[in-house]
Formats: sequence, C-alpha cells, structure tokens
Amino acid sequence: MNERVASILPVTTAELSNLEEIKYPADLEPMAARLATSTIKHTQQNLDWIYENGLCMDNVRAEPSTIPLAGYGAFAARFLSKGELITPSPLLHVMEPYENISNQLLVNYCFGHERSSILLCPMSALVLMNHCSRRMQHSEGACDPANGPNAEVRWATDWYPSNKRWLNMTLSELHEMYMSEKSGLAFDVIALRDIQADEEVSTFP
Amino acid sequence: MKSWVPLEKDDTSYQSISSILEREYEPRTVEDLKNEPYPQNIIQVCFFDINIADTYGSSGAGYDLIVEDGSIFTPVNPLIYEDYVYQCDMLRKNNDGTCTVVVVPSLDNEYTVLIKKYPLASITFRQKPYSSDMHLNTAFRHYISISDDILPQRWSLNQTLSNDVSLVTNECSLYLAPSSIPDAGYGVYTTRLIMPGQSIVTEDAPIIIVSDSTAHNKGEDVVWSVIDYAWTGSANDMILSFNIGALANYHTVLSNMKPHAVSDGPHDYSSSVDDPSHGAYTIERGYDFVATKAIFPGEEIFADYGESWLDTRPDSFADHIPRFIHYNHAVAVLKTMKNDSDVGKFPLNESTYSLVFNTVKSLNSLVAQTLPRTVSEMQENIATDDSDMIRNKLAKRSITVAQHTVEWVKENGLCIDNITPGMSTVSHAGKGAFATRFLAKGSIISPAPLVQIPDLKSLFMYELIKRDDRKRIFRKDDNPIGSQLLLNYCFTHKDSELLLYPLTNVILINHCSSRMAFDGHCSLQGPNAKVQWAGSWESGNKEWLNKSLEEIYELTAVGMRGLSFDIIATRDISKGEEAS
Repeated sequence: MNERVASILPVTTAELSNLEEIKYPADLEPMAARLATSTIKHTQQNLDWIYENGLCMDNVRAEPSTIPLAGYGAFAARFLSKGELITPSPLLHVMEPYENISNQLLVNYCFGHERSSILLCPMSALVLMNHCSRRMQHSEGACDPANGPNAEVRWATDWYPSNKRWLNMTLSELHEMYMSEKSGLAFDVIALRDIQADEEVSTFP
Repeated sequence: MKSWVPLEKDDTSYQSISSILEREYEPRTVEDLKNEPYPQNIIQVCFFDINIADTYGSSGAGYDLIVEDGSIFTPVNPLIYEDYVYQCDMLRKNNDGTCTVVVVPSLDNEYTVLIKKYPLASITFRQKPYSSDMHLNTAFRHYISISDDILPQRWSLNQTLSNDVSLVTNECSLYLAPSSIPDAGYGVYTTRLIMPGQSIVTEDAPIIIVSDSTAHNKGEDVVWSVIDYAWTGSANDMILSFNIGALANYHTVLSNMKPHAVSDGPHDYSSSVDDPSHGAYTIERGYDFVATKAIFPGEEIFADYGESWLDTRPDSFADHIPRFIHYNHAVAVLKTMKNDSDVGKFPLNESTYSLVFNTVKSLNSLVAQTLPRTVSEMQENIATDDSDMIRNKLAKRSITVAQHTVEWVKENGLCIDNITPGMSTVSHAGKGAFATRFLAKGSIISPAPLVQIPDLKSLFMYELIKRDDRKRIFRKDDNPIGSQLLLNYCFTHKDSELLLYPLTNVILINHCSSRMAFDGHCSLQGPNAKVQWAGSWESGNKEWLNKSLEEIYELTAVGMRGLSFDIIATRDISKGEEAS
C-alpha cells in the first residue's frame, strides 16, 4: 500500500509481540513512539557509546569578543590541550556565491579562496571563532601578534567519512551535489597550543 | 536587498539598538511620542510567547488578551523571526503594570488588534526593518580565505574571481575546438567559469530568416545543409543563427545553455524606403545565450535542440545517439544491480556484469552504449544513489565525452570571441564586427566554418499565391522576382553557382572595397582583414577544394560539410575597431 508505512512496521512476530503490551487504541501515542524508536539506531542512552563515537560540541561558548569591534567570539568552556579537536564542523558548500549571496552577511562567516568558486559555510561553533591573520597587527584581545592564533582549521579526519571522496571531486561534481542539495565536507578546528578555560579561541585557516 | 545610507557623524537621529536596550527605555504612549519620539531607526514592539494561551490566557498570568470583538488574539506572521514580536503602539498605561496597546500583527499594516491589558514589561525595542548597519551596501563582505595548501587542486580555477566576473575579458574565453563527443566535428568550449543564469554570450551574430523556402522551391527538398544549422521558426520560416547558436553541439543529458529572451526586438536601421540599403541586411538581433548549468573551464557548451531535432533526421547518425530515456534505463539497470548486490541477492563480478551488459545490448544497443564496460567503472558511476548524478556521470564517461583541460582547449582551439556585433561605422551597413581585444597583424581574427549552398537558384524568390482550397502558399510561376536575404551574407564568385556562408561572427564583417568610397573605419585605411582558405584545423579543405560542383552537391545531399575560411588581420587591429 505504502512503502513508508511498511518501513516502520515490525518485521518479525517477536517484534510485534513487543508492541502488544501496549493497549490499542487507548495508547496510540506510546505505540507510535515505540515504532519510531525501533527505526533508529542506538536508542538506548549509552554514554560509553557516545563518549567513544562522539565529538564534543560544547568546548566553546559565545561571548562578546576581546578583539575590538569584532562582535561575538568563541571562548573555551574548559581547558583544551594542544592538538585537541576544539570543534568539528560539517560544512554547507555554496557553488554560486557570486550569484546568490555575495552581499549577504553570511559571506563573512564562510570560507573561500580567490581562485575557486566554492564557498564553505560552517554548521558548528566555528562560525563564532574570529579569524586571526598573521598578517594583521592586532594589539589587543585574543589575536595577539606575539602569539598569533591559538587554533587552526583543517580538513576533517576519518570521523567524517565522505570528506575524503568529496575532496577529490571536481568543481563540476561538487556543483552537481550542490544542485541535489547534498553536503559532504567538514573541517576540524584543532588547538595549536594549550588553551585555558575562558580564553578566546581565534583561528587561522 | 534594500540598503540605507549611513548618517552623518553628528546626526543623533540614529541610535544603535544595543544602546537603546541597555538604557532600559521606558515605553512611551502615542501621546508621549508626539513630544518625545524614539530615534528614527527604532520601533516599539510587543512580545508574545509562542504558547500564548498558556502564558497569558485565563489559566496563565491573568493578562487579558481579549481583543475588541471578543475573540482571543492569535499571533500570525511575526515581524521578526524570534518568537512573536509585533510592532505596537501604546494608547495608555494602566496603574497595575499593564497597558492598552494596538498591535500590528502583519508587516503590511493590513489590520490592527487592540489589547486592553497587556503587560508593560513585555514591550521592548527593535531595529526598524532595513535600518540596521548590515543593510549598508558598503558594509564589509568577504569570506575567510582558506590557505593555499589546503585548497584541493581540482577546485582551483585558472582565473582569479572577483565579485564582478566580467564577460568580455582580455583573454579569449570561447573557442572552436574538436568536440568532446567523438566524431562530432567541432564544438564550442569555454575557458572561464560560467554559472547558471550567467551569459555565455550577450549578443550572438544576428539571426537571418529564410522565408517560405519550401514554397519558393516548389515544395521540393532543397539540397543544402542549411537546415542543420537552423532553429525552427514559424511554419514557413527557417531561423539561421550563427556563432554559438550554430556551432554548439547537441547533447540530451549534458545540454548546458539555452537562448535567452531579449527585450531588444528587431531594428530597421534604414531611415526611409528610398534608402539604398533598405532590406539589404537582417533586422533581427542575435540570441543571448545563458548557461542552464554551471559550465567549468575546459568544458564544451552543449545546446538543447530538443530530441525532436534527432527525430527529423531518420536513417542518419541520429539513430545512434542515446536519448534521455536510454540513460534513464541504464540508471535503473545499474541501481537494480547495486541494490541486489548490496543485500546479497546478486553476486556482482566481471562475469555477471558482462552477462547483464550483453543482455541489455541485445535488447537495446542504445541503452548499452551508455553503460560502463567494467564492474570497477560501474562502481565509480554509482558511488552516489542520486539518479540525476548517475545519469550525468554516464553521459560524461570518457568514451562518450572527452574531458579536456583549459590548456588543451587553448592549444587545439580557435578563438571565436575576438569580434562582437556593434553598429557599423559604415553608413547604411547595419551591424558590423568589432574587435573585442587587440588583434595583431597576421593573426586569425576568426575561423569561419562554411555552409555550402550548391545551387544559387535555391535562394531565388518568386511571387507566391494562396490557393483558395488550402492554407498553404504556392509559387505562382517560374519567374524569379528576387532572392533570399541570406544571399547578401554568402561568399561566391561570379563564375560559380556555389554559395558559402560563414557560421561564426564572420557573418557580421562588412565588406570594404578598395574600389568604392566608404565612410567609417573603412574609409581611413581600407580593409584591415582578408579572407583565405582555412589552415590545417579544417581537415576537409584540402579534399573539398579538389571536388567538382557535382561531388559537392552529392556530399551536401548527405549532410556533409568540409570547407572553412580563416579571416586574417592584414594589419594590427585595436580593441573596438571595426573589422572589414
């Protein structure tokens, strides 16, 4: 009748009997919830599994930047040791930045290159991090010319499996992906030196 | 995007929203505002929780959100996308911490709602729409640059992009080069990045219409290959387009451009009916062509003539070209194999794959043509499950479409955007061809593949009559009264019946005879270009130049062409100069 209905129905009688504990039709909502949880993996809140397979997303928090006139910035929520992943950052890629969003504020928060037509917009706390160019002479705040940035943007490691294949795509293939609304690239933000809790994180791409 | 102009430094009518909020402004009534208005960029707003009934309703904080007509206020279309915030005017303050407000729940001020007891503390301030500094059209906008060492090489273009990607650059960006489709002759390539919707060319050479050709030729099929370069017009007209419109090859899956409607209609440049040039040149403008997909440097430009273009050519090469539906069948075959193999229902290996391939081939060779030949190639093509992408990948397989680099295109191609249409400097000449860049003496201004019309008489025009019983028009007699306009654009010799017309912007180049007194650029130094048989890029020239008219007639009948000119600069031509 309907493939989507079939995809949530129990496959075995054992699974079905599991549901029968819930009285139909009075308990329609719990039954729907049970069916819904059966369609997703790792439904048990297994902390060990999360620690082992997850990447921390709250290593930084938003606060007004120490860099003058820079708006908000990202501040370490805890001590972050050198080489540690500060935040993972899946990216949305925009292939026609000059057509669509060249004047939008969003551009200031995305990554690009003068010889490429791709624009990469982070989906994590990376958007908060101020850029600290080694060429610039900031005298105050997190971007201190003596020390330079304390974090670096790199291509994501194996935790984001599609990255490797996507980095080998041509612009034409990336554009096709963009047209079919798919994304598959990610950055890692890595601490370049030990960062103390409450210290502002600034990146160097 | 609207934009606003920054105020002068000493203008106090603008105040930043943060300073307003920090100061904890006391909300003002409409009456108060007459004497003491808010800064011009600030509006007063009323805040509503999304769960308005729970928060304010009779069971909640006890505020009365009953509106005048007795109904309960339901927020719609919030002014700003943060919960529900609406512009509101305060009529009066009550002494119990509430007030009476008029809320404007929609942006277009269509209606207002009066709320009698609204919590004073829920009134706050926002920037007026389009008044924030992010709307400044001069505001800083730049992406964060990733460093060179992490930019994948394949993402790098051969050009530095700026926000203004100008169409006519100093470098040639449109080339005529061997098509990436094997045995398809020449095709058009771009060496710059063209994004969807962007112009490939802003004005192609003008269109020439051949009218009522069938009637003038007594309904007989005319032996000429003109038809292959014509776009269908109304029932009796053939639209001849040139340059991109004529040279771009067709591909049902990879088509990446389309003609773009232009508001600029036909122009009759002659001033009166007495003008000697009246009717002597086409009044039509050339097409604008825009990209329908992103076209990357080194890629061929493909037109979409529609598959009916193939249908009109039965028993020809067209029978061997896979159609869209064949690609779709191939995608379905591959996806079925992959899915069945993924769940262990189908052992995918070279021998099973070749069995499937051969089965498909015996059923439909066109579907087989689009299929990969090996399992590893197949797996590469179906790395994605998106049907559109698989179809594109199949169409781009190196066997069907060669992948070329910009360097290859420059090395093997001939520039076709050295000249562009403009109003001729020669009086009564209509349009002319103008140099888009400096062209050195002796260099090729433009190649000109030629279409041959073996019989000059096929362009003759006769008096046409409409027979009462039929809608169609017929030739009245056999006395020619004129010729098709196309004749004016053909090269020939008085001793020959063979006509040749160029497929590129060369069609625009006006003739500058040294025997006649011309004005404009022509008058200064005489012609600056000469016509010669094409160089080695036209492999047909050598053979065709030795053929008799009869042989050329025969070749034309089977849709062949093989002659080309090169237009050579006879002296240095500066940018903007007319070529003649």
